[in-house]
Amino acid sequence: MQVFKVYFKVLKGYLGQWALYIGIFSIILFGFIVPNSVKEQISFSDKKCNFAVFDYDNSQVSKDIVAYMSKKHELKSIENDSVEVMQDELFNRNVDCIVKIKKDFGENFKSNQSNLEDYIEIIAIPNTYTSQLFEQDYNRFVKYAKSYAVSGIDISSAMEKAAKTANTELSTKIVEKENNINYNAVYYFFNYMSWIIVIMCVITIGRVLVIFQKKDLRSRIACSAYSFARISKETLMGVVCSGFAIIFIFFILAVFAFKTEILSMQWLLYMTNAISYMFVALAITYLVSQLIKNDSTMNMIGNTVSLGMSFLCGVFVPMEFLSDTVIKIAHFLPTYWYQLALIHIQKHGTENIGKLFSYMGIQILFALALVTVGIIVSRRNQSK
Amino acid sequence: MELAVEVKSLVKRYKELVALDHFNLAIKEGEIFGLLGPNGSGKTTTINCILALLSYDKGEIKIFGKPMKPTSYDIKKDIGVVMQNVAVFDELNVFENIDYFCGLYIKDKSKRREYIDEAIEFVGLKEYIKFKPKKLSGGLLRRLNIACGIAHKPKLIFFDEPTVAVDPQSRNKILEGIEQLNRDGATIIYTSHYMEEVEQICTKIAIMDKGKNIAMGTKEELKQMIKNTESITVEVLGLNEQNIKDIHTLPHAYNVGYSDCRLSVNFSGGKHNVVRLLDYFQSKDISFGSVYSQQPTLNDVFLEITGKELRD
Amino acid sequence: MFWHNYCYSIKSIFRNKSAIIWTLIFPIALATFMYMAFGNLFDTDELMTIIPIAVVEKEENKGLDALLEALSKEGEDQIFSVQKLDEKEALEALYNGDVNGIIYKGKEISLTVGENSYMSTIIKTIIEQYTQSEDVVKNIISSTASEEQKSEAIKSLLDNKTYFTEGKTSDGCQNVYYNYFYAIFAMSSMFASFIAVERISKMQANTSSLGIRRAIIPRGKAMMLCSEFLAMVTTQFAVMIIAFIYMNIIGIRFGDKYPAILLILLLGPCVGLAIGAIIGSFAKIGDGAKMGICVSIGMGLSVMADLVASGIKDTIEHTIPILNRLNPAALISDAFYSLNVYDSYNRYFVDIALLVAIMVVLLTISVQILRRNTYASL
Repeated sequence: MQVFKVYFKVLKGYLGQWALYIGIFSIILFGFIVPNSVKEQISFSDKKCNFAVFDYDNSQVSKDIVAYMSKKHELKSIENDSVEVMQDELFNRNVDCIVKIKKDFGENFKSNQSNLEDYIEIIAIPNTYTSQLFEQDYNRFVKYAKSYAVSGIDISSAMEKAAKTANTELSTKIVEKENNINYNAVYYFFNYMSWIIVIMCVITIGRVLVIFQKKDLRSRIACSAYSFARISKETLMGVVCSGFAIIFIFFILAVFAFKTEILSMQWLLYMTNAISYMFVALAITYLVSQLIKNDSTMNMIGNTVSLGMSFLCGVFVPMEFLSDTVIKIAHFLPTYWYQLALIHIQKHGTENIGKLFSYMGIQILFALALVTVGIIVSRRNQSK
Repeated sequence: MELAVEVKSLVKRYKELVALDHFNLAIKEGEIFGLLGPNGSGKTTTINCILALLSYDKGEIKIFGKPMKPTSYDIKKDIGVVMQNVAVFDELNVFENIDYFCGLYIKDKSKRREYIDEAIEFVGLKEYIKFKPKKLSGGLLRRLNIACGIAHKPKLIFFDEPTVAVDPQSRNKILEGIEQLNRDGATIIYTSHYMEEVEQICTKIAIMDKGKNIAMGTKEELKQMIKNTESITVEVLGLNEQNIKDIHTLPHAYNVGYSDCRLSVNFSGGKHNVVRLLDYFQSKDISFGSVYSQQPTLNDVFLEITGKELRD
Repeated sequence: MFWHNYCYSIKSIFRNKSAIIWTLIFPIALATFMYMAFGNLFDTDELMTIIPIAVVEKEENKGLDALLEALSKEGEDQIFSVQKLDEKEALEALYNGDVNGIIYKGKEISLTVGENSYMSTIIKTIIEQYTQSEDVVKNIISSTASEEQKSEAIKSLLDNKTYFTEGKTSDGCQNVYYNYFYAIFAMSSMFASFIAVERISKMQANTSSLGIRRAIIPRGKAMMLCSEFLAMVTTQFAVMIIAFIYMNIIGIRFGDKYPAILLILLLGPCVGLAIGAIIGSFAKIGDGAKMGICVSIGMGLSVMADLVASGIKDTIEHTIPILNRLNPAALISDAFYSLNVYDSYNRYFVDIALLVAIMVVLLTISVQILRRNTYASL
């Protein structure tokens, strides 16, 4: 098993690259995915906006309004109300709206003057759903409160009644839409994994394959007692084993992130899908190693292919947001079928397994096609 | 005649390893000076110290009578170097490479153009001026390497093993070219571990081993340093011990060996040694076959001084 | 001699395909993929558009009819586009995404939506206002207020007034996805280090024989280093401009403060080149390892500037802000952002000043390493 052993000895020199990408993935996983994990919602609930308040009035009126809005939406705090800070927080979507209540807002409200709008400013990115929703909620509350106040009720009772009225809900039901997907942490785990696995394979395993294909080295091995079939077999074993090693590393990460949640049939399906995609990644690696011999070009190709497929196939941007043209193009990329399988497991779990296996089958077909092209290129290189 | 290069007591250490051990060198202008030694003897280290690329621990280096420092630009403009490894830009073609390096020495464009054309003619790369290095064979690449080092017509040229991995035809051409450069006025310092090349073109030779200059002089002077002046090998059957003792008594014979029907005798002087040996065989009625007589080589010089082969 | 070396260096750099590919083709390819993926996402996902809804009539409700007619009237204030369907058709339309909500019209109104989204919540909020307003009127009428007060109260309720002023912080582009495109420039700048690694190894006597030949010329090293660096800056600047023009062509808007933008496109690669010069000067590391270090540093810094996921830079800003001040990729991204959203150049100048400071420090370090003329070993 000389070739097999040497394969891993050479691969050892590139493990630093694995560490880099696993590191990036871990930061995304533990820094963003797991903390922002979303629970499945089976009933309708109002979406909330994030908002911040700078209340320079501090009257009972302003406090009541803020209290009502805090129940409907999420009150956040930001550093200050300078233009720069507000702009940054809005741009980064940390808050959707910032409310600035000027002095004497309460007095104006109480005296029912016609220019209440001059005492309160809602700062947001214009014409967005979030700003519209927030403004709608605020406006209706104030409208009800004003009406009650004008009808002669005292201010605090008017506020109370307005809140009670504004809280009467319209009966709302949610039904399944075709594209309804619960984007929870598990989904994102396997989602981003598809990006990382391709780049990891290309820039490490790919480099080892390029080394093995160096003319002098190949000639020297060919002169030995090893048959071509045996060399190929051991190299293939090395490649597949390293692919499984990568999958295993991700499995360990999953254990840390999701703990006992992974002991389910659904997880088995996720892992099977991941293994199918691993074969795709290895096939891409093989093809790239036949086409590119230069280290830095290989790095670039690896990054371009992995990022390109990720952008076009719904990894970084959910599929329902991609245009029809992009989806049509994505059909020709193996990552698209991986994504479909992932979504299928998300929606249907262990049901309708036939369709799931068909998606995995398409991935394997892609892998075989890529390997075939790689072999053709290899033959052409050798005959040169 | 002024000394082109003068090295006095040069010491260079790499931690515990002494790469140059009080190394001395004196090269006159107009010489083709050979620096001969096995791998690891310190040849390239010496060159790099002389060129002020390597720092050294002790000693003095002068070129054309002036101390050599990294900032001795007035000296550097008259130096050309042809390294062992080909040092050209892969992205530039033959003409562009030579133009680039010549341009680092010669400012005047018309003069430079003239020099470049001469250099291309000199190395025989006229048909290849638009070729990039990747398209050139090993021999042509070496010629390009030389052109880049000599295009600016330096007065002192260093050739550091320029014929490594080159076919015999190209090698001869390179050696002829070096001799031509010398005839045109350049002082040449030629390092190699191929004694045949050094013997062929060098007017003076220094033999190095373990960072020391163990012998210096012309070929003849070096050969006279050793005891052996002639080695005779004869194919002969059936010699006995008495015969060996008798041969030992021949004038100037000092080393007699006999194995596998081959007798080899070293003589430390004298003429007609072959005649005397053959007369002995005739007198004892001993039949013999082929007879070889060889003058000592630099390898013999090296062997005798150091106890090992030049190519060890 | 300076210009002689400069011209040949430019020729040599431009003919080095792999370096040009990394710093030009890769960013262009990435920008294209990103634009295809989410170029219009801000417009389609965040900006308010006319919401298609279906109405299923269970019973008559003239008030609701009037409201929906008003809200679906063509013009600036149109919120809905309404289709009257039967239940089956409506559910099918909802399932396929042709409508975002189904309003069941009758004495009791209910709503069915396909997902929990802002759009669904807006539909609900608007329809709720109809039913809630009815409640307010009922409460007011049944109250002990005087007729005049009741009349005023109902008038106030039905008055389509807005009780706030809309404010905004910028006229610039608020598309958060533009962070990705800013990060592409940051990444391209950092990847300029590949070119520096390759060129520096051809200049140093302890890293290549070409370096030896260039070290023994009758000129000071400073000339060679300056002309080489200037050549690298020239080529990288050209590459960045090409990438910038391309992104403008495909529709990404960086604002029109072109002189300021050009300064970023110039300074960014200078920092990347300085990083590469330092990495390239280490003789003991092989070429492959040097490339690996360049990729790691370039990718790592760019990921922290939102190259692959928006929000990382902001999180760092809220937790360890000093990292963003020291990360040249984050500074480049922030400089683009500042130009796009702020009228004042204050923040932009801070970013530029920090970039210049980082560049000066890195260049000083690289010059200290590279200026040496003699070596302990070669």
